[in-house]
Amino acid sequence: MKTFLKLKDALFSNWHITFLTICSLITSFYIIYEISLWSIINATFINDFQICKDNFNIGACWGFVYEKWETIFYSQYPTHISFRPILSSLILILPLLYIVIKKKFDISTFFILLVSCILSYFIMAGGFFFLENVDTRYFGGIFLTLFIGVFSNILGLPLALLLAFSRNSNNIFVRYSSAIFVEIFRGLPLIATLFVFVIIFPLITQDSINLDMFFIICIAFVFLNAAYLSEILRSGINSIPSNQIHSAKSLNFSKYQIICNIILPQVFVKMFTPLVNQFVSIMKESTLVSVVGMFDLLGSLNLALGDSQWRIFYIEGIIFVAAIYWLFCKILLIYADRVSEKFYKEYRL
Amino acid sequence: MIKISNVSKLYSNEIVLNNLNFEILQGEKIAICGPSGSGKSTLLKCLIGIEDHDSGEIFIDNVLLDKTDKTKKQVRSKVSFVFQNFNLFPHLNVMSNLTLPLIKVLKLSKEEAEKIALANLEKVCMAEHVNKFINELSGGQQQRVAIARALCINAKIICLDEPTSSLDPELVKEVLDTILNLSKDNITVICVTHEMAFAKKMADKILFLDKGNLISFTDTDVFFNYSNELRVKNFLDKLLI
Repeated sequence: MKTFLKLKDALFSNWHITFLTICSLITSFYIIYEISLWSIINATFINDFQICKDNFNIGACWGFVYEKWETIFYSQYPTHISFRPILSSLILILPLLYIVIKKKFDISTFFILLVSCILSYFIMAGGFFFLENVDTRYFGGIFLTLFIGVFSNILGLPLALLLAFSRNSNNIFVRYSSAIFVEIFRGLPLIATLFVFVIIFPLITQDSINLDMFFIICIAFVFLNAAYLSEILRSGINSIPSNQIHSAKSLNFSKYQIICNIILPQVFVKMFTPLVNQFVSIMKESTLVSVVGMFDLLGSLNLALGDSQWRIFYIEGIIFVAAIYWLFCKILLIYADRVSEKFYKEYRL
Repeated sequence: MIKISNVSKLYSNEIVLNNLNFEILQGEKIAICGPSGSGKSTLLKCLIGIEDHDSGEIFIDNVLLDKTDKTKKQVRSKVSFVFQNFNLFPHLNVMSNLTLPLIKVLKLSKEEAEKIALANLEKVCMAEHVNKFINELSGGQQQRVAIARALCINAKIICLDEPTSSLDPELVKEVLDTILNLSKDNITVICVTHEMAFAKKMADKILFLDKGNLISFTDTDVFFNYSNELRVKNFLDKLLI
C-alpha cells in the first residue's frame, strides 16, 4: 500500500507529470507490442524456408537460427567432431562463471583461466590420443570469441604490469623500450595492428605458406591489450602517494614486497572498474579478426549468410549473435559489480 | 650512536643542509627545532637514507650510510621512523598495518606479530580500534597508530617528524609520556617539532637549525635560559610562552 501511494505520488502528482506518465506509457506499450508482435506472436520457429518466406514481412524467422546455429557456433570446424568446440567453449565459460560466483580476483584466478585456455586450445587443435589434428585456421565461432577475450586478458595483464613498472624504472633502456612499446600499440587501431602482424610475421619467420593466423592474432590482441591495460595500471601506480612508499622503505620492506603488499592491492582496487572496461572492450573488438580471414561469432554469421536462400533473414541472425555478445559482456559486468562491492567491504577504498 | 660529519645537501643549487657536524649518544632524547624550511625534516630523512645526502658522512651505530641498498637496510633495521603525515597503508586495517612489517620483514609468525602489535597499541591507548580502517580514524588516532607501528620494530633509534602537529593538547601529553617511557629501554629519540613547550619537556638536548646551518646544539636548560646565539634569542623572543 505504501509503495502504491509512493508510486501514485511519483507518477500522478500534478497534471504535467500525469501527462508525461501517460505519454511514456503509451509509447512504451506501443514499442513493446510491435516488438513482441514481430519477434514472438507472428514469428516462425521452424526451419521451413517456405513458411518463413511467406511470413517474411509479418514476423521473425527464428528457424534461420535453428537452421544455421552449427555454422554460427562452430564456423568452419569439421562438423563430425563438433563436440570439441562445445567442450572447449564450456571449459572457457565454466571457470569464468565460477570466478564470477566466487568473486575471485587474485593469483589463483589467473592460473585457473590460463589452464582453461591451454586446455581448450589443445582440445580444439587435437593431434593426440584419439583426437584428430585440426588446423587452427578452422577455429572459429563462439570458441574464437571466448578464447580471444579470455586469453588476451589473461596474458595481457601480467605483461601490462611489467610494462607499467618498467615505465617507472630508473634504468633508461628499460624505461624507453617500455614507453616505445606502449606508445606504438596505443597509437595503432586494432585493424592496423592485425594487418601489420599478418605482414610482419612471415617476414621474420621467412615462411609465408604455413602462416598460423590464429597464433598471430592472439599475439596481436595480447600486445594491444597489454598496452592499454598498462596505461590504466600506471595511472593507478602513480596515484599512490610517494609518502607511502617512503614509509614502506623505512620499515625495511624490499622492493618486491612493496610492490606486492603495498602498491598492487591498492592499484587493483582503485583501477578495477577501468580494467574491466578494457576486458569487455577487447572481448567485443574480437569481431575484427574477420578482416584477416578468421571467423569469430559475427564472422561465422556472415559465413552462414553466404547461403543465398536464407540470406534475407540476416536481422534475426544479428539479433541472435548480439544477444550472445551481450551475455558475455554482461557476465563480465556482473563480475565487476560483485568484486568492487567485495573490495569495498575488505579495503574500504 | 649517531655521528654526522660535514653533511651537506642541495635541492637544485639551493643549500638545504650546510656542513653539519654533531654526535648523538645512545639513550639521548634530541629535539630538532627551527623555523619552517630550515631543513629539519630533510635532516631526519637523510638519517635513514630516504633522501640521499650529497657530501659528508653519516654513521649510525658504527655503520657508514652510503647509497647502497645493503647499508640502507642495515640502518633501517636500527631506526624506525614516524612520518609527519603518518603514511599508514589505507588498504589495511590498524592491526594489519602493524603486523605486515613484522611478518614480512622480521619473519615473525602471525600470532607473535599480533601479540607485539596489541601490546604497542595498548601503550598508545588504541587497542580498541584494531579492526578499524585508516580512513575511519581521526588524525590524532592515526598519529598514535603510526607511533605504535614504529615501536613494534623494536628499534634502537626512533625518529619522529612533527609527532604532535595534528594532536589535541591532551593527546600531546599522551605522546609525550609514551616518548618519555622509551628512555627506560635506552632508546634514542630524535624528534622534529614546532612546539617548544613539548621540546622543553621531552628533550635532553636541543638542536637548532636555521636555513640549513647548525646554530646551536646544547642541553635543553642551556638552550632556553642561557643561550648566547642571537638567532636563538630572536627565535625564543617570538614564542608565546
